[in-house]
Amino acid sequence: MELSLGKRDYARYPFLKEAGELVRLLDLSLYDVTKFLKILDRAKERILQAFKRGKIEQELEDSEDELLSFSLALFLVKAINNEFAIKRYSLAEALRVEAFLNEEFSNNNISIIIYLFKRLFKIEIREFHKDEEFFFEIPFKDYLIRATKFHDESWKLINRPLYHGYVRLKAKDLIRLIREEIALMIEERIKLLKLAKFPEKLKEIVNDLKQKAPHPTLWIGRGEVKDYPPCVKHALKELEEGRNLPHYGRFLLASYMLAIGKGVDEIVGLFSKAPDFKEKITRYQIEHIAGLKGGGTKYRVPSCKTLAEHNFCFKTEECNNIRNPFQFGRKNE
Amino acid sequence: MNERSLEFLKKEFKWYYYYKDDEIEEPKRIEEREFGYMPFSKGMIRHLSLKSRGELIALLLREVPAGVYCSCSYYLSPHLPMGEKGWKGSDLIFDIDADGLNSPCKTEHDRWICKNCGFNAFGKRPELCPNCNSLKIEEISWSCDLCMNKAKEEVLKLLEILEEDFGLSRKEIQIYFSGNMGYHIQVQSPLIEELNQDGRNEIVDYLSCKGLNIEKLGFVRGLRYDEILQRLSNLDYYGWGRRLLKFFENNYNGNPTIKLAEMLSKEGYKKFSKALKDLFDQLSVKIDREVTIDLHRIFRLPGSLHQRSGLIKKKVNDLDYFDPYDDTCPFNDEPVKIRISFSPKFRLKGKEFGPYKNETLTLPKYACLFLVARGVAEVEG
Ligand code: SF4
Ligand SMILES: [Zn+2]
Ligand SMILES: [Zn+2]
Repeated sequence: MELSLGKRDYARYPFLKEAGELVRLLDLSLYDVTKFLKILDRAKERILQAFKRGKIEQELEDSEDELLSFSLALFLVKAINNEFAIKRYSLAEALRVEAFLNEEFSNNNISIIIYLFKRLFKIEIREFHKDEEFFFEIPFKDYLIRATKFHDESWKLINRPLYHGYVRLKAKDLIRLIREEIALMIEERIKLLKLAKFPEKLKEIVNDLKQKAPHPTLWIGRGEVKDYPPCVKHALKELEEGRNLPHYGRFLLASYMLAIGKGVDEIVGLFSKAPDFKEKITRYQIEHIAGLKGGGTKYRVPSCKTLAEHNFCFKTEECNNIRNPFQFGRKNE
Repeated sequence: MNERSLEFLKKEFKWYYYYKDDEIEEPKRIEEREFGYMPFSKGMIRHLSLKSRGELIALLLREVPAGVYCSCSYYLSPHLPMGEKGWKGSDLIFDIDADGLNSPCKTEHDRWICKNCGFNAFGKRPELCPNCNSLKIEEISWSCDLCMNKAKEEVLKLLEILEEDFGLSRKEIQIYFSGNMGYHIQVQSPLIEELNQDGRNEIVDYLSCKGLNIEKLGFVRGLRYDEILQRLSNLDYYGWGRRLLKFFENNYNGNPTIKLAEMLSKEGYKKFSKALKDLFDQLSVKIDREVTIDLHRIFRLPGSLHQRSGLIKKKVNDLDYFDPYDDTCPFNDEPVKIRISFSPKFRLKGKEFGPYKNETLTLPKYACLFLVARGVAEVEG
């Protein structure tokens, strides 16, 4: 099926276009300053919304301007040159796409969803109708590659309809599956950009954005964590005060920090105040938990039940019957 | 095992690899596989790379190994250390072992033996040998037609789910008798080749019915009868829902959905969900998780001999008619004298043997080889 995409589609899914528009943008700044400023404003808005709220909203009336503002925003983020800012911005763009895709589904634009899966990720999804029920069907392999990264039990294959090699999903879940990949794709695109001819007048704007870019500790992995669960806090406090942690405390802290996207170096640092700290051993252990060493098994964050059994649960009201510390303080994904 | 018994095994294995080399099945994409072998009386040698069937047969004839193995994975450079091989993908392999099925016959044929003084008995192994206080106690599991048939049933359950739910074609699935007490089921398909450990773990959970949330199927707590009935209308979307319906169709009269809804509203949620869980445990496939998710494992090569039985790891073409203790024993019936410490009853090449206890006998060579390989007999001279 060949789908002809319109201007509006490119504005919504701007990464479908090649990223070569900077030249045009710079031309524009010479002969149509008003238009350029409008695009620049929208680009800044995209970035600030991403930094502040993690989400990008609204769109410009003019599809072409909207599309160009995406390209310009990528350059600006690149110039900010901060890993966390890039990640946060990319995820916000991905969430914007997710919202649009859900809207397409409500408007019965099924074909654009099918097209995007195929074009971007080579996934052949198809429709399944029975009576009034509607599902998308996705090959179990493509499902598993993505769904195994989610922790909620509803994503387990066994809790999904599976028939003749296809997993049946509601539109919302199907679209949720590719959020991280879209974010990664945008991230990649930013990283590949070359900034050789970056115009002087934008430097000031970049400097301003730099001030507003997220600080590393505010941004951790996918989804936001406003607060650590009591058990993790306890582990941190013990270390901070120079006490050693029992095995399960160490395992929890390392696996939790890895799960929320912290790097090995940073985690090693957390342990450095423990009286029995040996950097080489700690690093090896963390890499092992991360699946970088040993058998390649990635360890998940131990469950609340396991932690309770090893006297490392410090439950408060806020734990709210979660099953795994990883779920603490998160909106349901 | 004494020197004479060892020589006996080696000689017969050599004969097999020399005269029966056409039994050996070389793996697909042989040059991307890691090979390993276990010499008699030495540890495993791994990380070998072979280019062709010819090289493989040459290795077997040169080394006459006790066991020879091949990776489930495909690598860029199979001969390099594990971290540097360059993983490309893996077949999906399931291990169904009669020993793990807890069949009631286990207590009849499983024993333990003291490797120091030879004292042995049925049942659970003690810490120390009651005869000589040695710690060297070995468990000897055995299999019989009963537990091997149970293993077959598990294979059939597995095949059904792989085909119906996972959409794999029968052509992509090979069944092998493991050479000892069970079956290996090997899937070669582009659908699974690139799946990592996490993905395979999910498949194992699916097959062993682990992590199933019965509320997803429609069995929701605190609903009225008509609401339950309504929820259960999509039961057949789910693989385990379909199997549940089938079980009820085969075992009860009337409409299975109505029957289920009635049971739930009559018995109450707690009791019902417990019963359901037990039923799913029964319907689930009993596979060894570790075997399936380990991408670095090497598996006995099809067509090679098992050092604990002297039987061939053999491809099963028709599971219904396959006899693991008839079609897999290549040796002849020349008389050989052996001293048997013990053996339960067993059947080989259509003949019944045993039970034996502390006796010296002359038996056909194939039966002697089986007992010596099992570690319960020594060759007399
Ligand atoms: S309930 Fe879970 S998250 Fe809360 S303290 Fe206990 S282990 Fe940590
Ligand atoms: Zn003893
Ligand atoms: Zn048995």
